[in-house]
Amino acid sequence: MKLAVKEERCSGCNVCRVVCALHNAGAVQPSQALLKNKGAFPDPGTYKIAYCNQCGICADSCPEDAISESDGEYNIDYELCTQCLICIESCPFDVIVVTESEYPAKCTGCGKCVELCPRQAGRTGIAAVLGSKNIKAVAVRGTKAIPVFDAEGAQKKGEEMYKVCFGKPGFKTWTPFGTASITGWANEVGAFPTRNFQTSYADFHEKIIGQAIIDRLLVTDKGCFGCPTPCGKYGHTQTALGSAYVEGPEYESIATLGGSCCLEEIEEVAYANYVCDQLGLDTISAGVVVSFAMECFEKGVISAEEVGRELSFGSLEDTVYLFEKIAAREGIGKVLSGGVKYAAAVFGGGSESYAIHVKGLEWSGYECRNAPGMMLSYMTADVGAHHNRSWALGYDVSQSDADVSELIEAGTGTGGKLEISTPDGKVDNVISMQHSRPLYDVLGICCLQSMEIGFETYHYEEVFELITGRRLSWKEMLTISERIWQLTRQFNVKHIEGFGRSWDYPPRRFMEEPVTSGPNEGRLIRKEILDKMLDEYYQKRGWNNDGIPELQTLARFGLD
Amino acid sequence: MPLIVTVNVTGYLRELYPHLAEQRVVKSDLPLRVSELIGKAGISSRMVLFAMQNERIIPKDRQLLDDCEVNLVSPPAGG
Repeated sequence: MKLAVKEERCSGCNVCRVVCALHNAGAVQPSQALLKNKGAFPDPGTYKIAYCNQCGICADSCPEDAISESDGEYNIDYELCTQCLICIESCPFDVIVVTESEYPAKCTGCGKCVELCPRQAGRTGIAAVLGSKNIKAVAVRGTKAIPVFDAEGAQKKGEEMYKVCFGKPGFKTWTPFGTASITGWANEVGAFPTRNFQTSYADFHEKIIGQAIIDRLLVTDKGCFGCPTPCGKYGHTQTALGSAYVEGPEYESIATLGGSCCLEEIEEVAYANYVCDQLGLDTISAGVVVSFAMECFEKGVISAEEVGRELSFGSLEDTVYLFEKIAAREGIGKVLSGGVKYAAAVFGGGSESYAIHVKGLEWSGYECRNAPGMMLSYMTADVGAHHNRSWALGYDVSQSDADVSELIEAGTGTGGKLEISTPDGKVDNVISMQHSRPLYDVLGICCLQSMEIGFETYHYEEVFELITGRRLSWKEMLTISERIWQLTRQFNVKHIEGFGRSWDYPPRRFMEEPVTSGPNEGRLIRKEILDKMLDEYYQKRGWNNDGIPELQTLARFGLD
Repeated sequence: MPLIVTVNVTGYLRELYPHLAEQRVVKSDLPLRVSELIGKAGISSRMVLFAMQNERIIPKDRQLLDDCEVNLVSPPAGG
């Protein structure tokens, strides 16, 4: 493989060098990496990457002809090499290194650095916040190693955890499909947001399910650094607007770009995903904002003159047009860049009822009008309508009960294929998940090894102790997570004027407009039942009726 | 002789059905299809994304053979 780089996208994180050294030298020692990057300080965010382009100058310089070309790549024959190291001096890019055994080592084009060049992180608009403060990057420099309580023990434990991971039944099923495997299921259970959440079922879903990625896009699996179960996908897409290599799409991008914006081909979803990555937009928020604009246009709330063109669901051109306007904050994009809550306030015309968000954060990929537990998860998540704080949808789907809940509409027409999901017991499920899910973030680990592969929590207790020297049980860690939950609520109370119960409701669409098609056609969850769940949730959290933590609750967690 | 099937549940199924978190052996005096195995294990069929045998997805109407091992895979819990 011949490497190519995009220096304008390099963040200088050095993962490529760590991975290269791990793969080629068997050590976490970036100085042994066969590529380099150099920050152009004081111009933060600009990096120069030195890498082997297989020019062959080293082969020409070798007096022993120990370097030869095969399939476009130059490799060293160590039986012929005399360790003269002339090749190192000849390399115009300074990317041939001396190994511990004092032989030269050069890039063979293995591509490990490409596989692990990091993934995107754009949710909740943190980059926009930094941008508003004219902060382009936060650079941290240090000269000393981060201390580890028992480095040798931690390494051994890490090796053991890899082996445990490979032995789990879930290991073999998780990596090949990844998150996109849920697309067809979400559609089948009527939870797939479609047409700006007007409905929860897409009749074109087979063209955008996980298998479509594998059949039509996939180049290779891709994971985060050091992951034994790389569930991401890296593929190539070709559309009328252009072609691109793209990471993903993950389920959430499929749900918001494919479902909510109605892009009916996986190639189009992937291309829209690529454009978001290039522009630095979160695919979830960007997809929901664009589908909101499309519905506003359909309903005559905004005009072609205001938008600069006509808009229609399913149009990749319209979707990309709006992404570019949002990123540049031009024309209609200036309003849309504020998110659906802000845009609805500007547009008016009743659009706030289908501005799909909670606390100003656009809703992610699960439609909830027959999923009261998941609805409560979105409503009460500290950051807004995000699924990673609690994913109670499984409880909703597995514990359906047609005899309970008169307040969820029974549905009409072709609806009623699925039983009504009862809200009973869901508050406890949601609270429990709101402690366990964020704990993975607090520990700085991926939740998926535990959730999808079945990794036992005692492993995390042991690693925590080996690294910090402090023994904490998983239960004790959950108590810390609960304290953080109280803290973030109190933070919102303190810093958002008028914060309280009114911030915890979903858009009116979910309480007043029935799902328009699919297995949950006719369903909605009326405000009365949401209030009943919120009352129980607040009481169990130790918050007052307006959702404000009581003083004794704060005192219990040392936050008073 | 009863039919014996070893069942592993993965992902979210372990959280929903803690009693199935460890590998289970199911015995049946009658022939058993995957869908019947799911019911016999007390699992909501909608929570089984697919069943796998020998690293391959198998249809839910597949007749199971004696002494086989089946992995029941849940939908990913939020991606």
